Amino acid sequence: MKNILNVEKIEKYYGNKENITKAIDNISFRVEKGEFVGIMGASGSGKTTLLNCISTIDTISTGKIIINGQDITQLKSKSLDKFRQNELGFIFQDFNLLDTLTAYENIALALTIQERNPKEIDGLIKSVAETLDISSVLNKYPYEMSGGQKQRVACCRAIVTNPSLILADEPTGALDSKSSRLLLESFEKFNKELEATILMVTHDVFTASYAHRILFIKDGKIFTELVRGNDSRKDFFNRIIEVITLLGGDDNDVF
Amino acid sequence: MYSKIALGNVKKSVKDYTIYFLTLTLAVCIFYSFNSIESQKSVIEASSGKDDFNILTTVISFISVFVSLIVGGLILYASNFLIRKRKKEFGIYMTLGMSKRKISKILVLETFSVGALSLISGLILGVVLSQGLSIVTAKLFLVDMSKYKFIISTSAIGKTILYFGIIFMIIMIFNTAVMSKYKIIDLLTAGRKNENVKIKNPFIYVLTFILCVISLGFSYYLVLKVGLKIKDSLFHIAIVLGVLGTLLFFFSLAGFGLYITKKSKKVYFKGLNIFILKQINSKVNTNFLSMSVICLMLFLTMGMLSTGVGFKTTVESLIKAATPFDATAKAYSGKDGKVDSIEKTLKSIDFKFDKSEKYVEYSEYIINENINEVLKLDDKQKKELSKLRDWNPRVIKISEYNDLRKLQNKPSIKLKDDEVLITANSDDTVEVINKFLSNNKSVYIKGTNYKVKNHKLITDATRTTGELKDNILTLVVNDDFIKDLKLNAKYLNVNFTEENKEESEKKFLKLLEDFRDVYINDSKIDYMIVNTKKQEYVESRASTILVLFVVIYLGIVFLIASMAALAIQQLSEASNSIDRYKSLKRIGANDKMINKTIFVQTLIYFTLPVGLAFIHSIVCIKVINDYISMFAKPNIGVGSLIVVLAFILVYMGYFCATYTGYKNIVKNS
Repeated sequence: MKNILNVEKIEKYYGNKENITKAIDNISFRVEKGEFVGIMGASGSGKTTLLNCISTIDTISTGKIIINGQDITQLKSKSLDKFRQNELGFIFQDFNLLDTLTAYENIALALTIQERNPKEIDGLIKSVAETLDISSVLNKYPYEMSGGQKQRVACCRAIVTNPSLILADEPTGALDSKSSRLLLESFEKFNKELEATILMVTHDVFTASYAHRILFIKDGKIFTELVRGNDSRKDFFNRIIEVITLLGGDDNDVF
Repeated sequence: MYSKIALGNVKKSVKDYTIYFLTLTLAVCIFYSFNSIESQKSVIEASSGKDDFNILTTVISFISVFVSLIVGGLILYASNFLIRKRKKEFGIYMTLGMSKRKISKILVLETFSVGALSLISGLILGVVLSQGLSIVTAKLFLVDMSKYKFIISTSAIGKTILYFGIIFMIIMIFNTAVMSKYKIIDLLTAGRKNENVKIKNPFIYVLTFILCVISLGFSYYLVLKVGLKIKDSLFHIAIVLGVLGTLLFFFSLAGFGLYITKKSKKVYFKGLNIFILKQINSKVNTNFLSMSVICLMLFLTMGMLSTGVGFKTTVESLIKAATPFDATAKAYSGKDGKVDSIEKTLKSIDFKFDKSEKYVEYSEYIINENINEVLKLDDKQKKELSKLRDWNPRVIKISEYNDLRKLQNKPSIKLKDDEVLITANSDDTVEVINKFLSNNKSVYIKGTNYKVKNHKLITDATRTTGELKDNILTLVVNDDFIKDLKLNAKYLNVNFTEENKEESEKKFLKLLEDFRDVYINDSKIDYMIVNTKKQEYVESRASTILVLFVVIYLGIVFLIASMAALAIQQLSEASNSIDRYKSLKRIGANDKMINKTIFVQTLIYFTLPVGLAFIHSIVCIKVINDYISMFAKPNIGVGSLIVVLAFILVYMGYFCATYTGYKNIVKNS
């Protein structure tokens, strides 16, 4: 299997010399091609910082992040933009759709930014919309769509460029349970069918149970790792709950 | 505590809305400068000696009321934007338990401090600028510069403070009223609410765009055909159609443009073009009304400025041509058809010529044939002359004509028995007569053909008058010719010598007053009109200065107001779009791409109203040109050039400020 993401001993500090906060404290892990990895942790554990660093939105203090063979910590800002355009796809909690554009145009924008040939754009959008079942809303504006539809449009935008890594930050955070299920099923779908590699940050156990492997982060460190293996989703769900309880146990010790 | 919040906000606003603040300062500065001219009254009146200056200051104070209305409207508009931008902030204050009254109090404090700040800086700038303006005024009024002093006009300061004080007062009341209308939930969710992008059927836009082209085209056609006839109903229709067309243009343009560009996949799917198009589309759609107003205002500015500056140069050249002598007295024919010699009349009222004053008197006769008969016009020329073809040409004796030429140090002309000279300078006839001269060698008078001696039309005026280019057609003939002709008028031309110029001038001005004020109703003395060269210059100067000042004052205010409105709209758009730019950045658009979208957006947004206004004013200038050319060769070229340069300067200034401001807002988010 091809190695897509390689995180080596990264650290991220905030603040000055006298008062250092370590948001990420020596984290290392790898993600292979076609994997669906979840990152869990309580709020303030550093999971969003980790995702931001991987997504090149934030910079790390020390360590290396290698995506598809490229060390992104060494890239200049110009090539970083290029890298973001071609190698990464983003899905955000608040969708980040442009309210002035229709669903179709929102998806098209990811391609036009890459300066794709105008002729192939239409076909790409239609086929990806088909996969996620949003063909009927392509000509609607975000304010005319439901949350689930919006998030699926955002998904289309993320995968239409065929990135090596899809980064999802609390993708179900703003969705109801039905929409969440629909969305996660589509995640599974393009994970299987398109061999998309997905890295998803969440604090929701149900959402996390769709992943193949979950990294638990606590105080900026990897606390433990859970692999689904051949478990059913329900069993995996229960195992996650157990870990969460254990994680929370630390807090209980205080009292 | 409240004043602390208010001051903090002002600091923030000044940084965010540099353009708003600068425009206020500029408005105050211009308002003061133009109103401070009054303080130069004593200096200018002393050397001008007339009440022209009073008229100027009165007109300026009238216009200042109008200007303050415009500036007031602009400030109201801007402050409305500022409040809307900060809805969320006010919502937070309210959830914390602050009452609406207290929020209003903060707003009032803010308006007050922004107002005070811009008033002070504007006045300081105004005092500096007004010196320059005063020097220009003095130069225009031909005042001796040595008498000139640095003046700070307290009355103008008081007036500025009063007018702007009232404006800010109204703004405060308005803000309070707006605040009290808001509900807390609207304030808090203001940021989250998406602007509803109403997209109608594209065919509606295509249709309205076609309608707009038709109404604008028809309007241009009408106004070009009718010309500057303000009372003509067709002219009114043209204006209404023009305004309607402008409205339709801005209503339909965005939708139409979108429809067209969507057809071209190459443009539509290139870089961030989709985003740019939609940004402009939503902006123009929501602001089409204000954009139309801005466009019309810019059009007025361009039209006014270029014709105003052109007007001055035109009038100056006209006056020069119309005043070949230092003074002229004109006597009409009396009731019995006889006109007494002016020299005799003057003697009878004890008017004596000085030795230095050289004068020549001449008589003007009228012939029985009309132009049509004299020139034997063809149908086309008849049509061109229209009513004038029935007019009877005037006649002057060659001996007297040569005397006039002698007075001007020109060589005399000899005429044979069967020869005449043709002179004319009226724009109504010059063209026709020139054509006539190129084809014919003779005129038909008294049943005989006379050879025309001059091959080129003589356009020099034979007297100094207040009317410009009033010689429709005058023939210079041999002395015997006039025997049985009717005398029309007598003229007496005087030239002064350099040394006694001022005294002579005074003498003749007094004569003018005498004849103007007291009708000398002696049966032997005819009514007489006296014109002097200097007086004509002074009079025309006063009127051109008036036109210039009004036009420049209004023009600058209009220009600044419309540019500021555009800039404020763009900048408020910037802060509304921050989230969009964040999204763009997240999906991989780089700074270069984003800066390009900002540039293109601002450029298009600034160019649209200016562009249409430019087309409007080309038509307008053409019409006004045609109108002026009835009296003079219009000289709008130089004027237009100056205007265009000034325009580009202000435009570029606002454009650059907006572009950088927009970029900073996006960058700092």
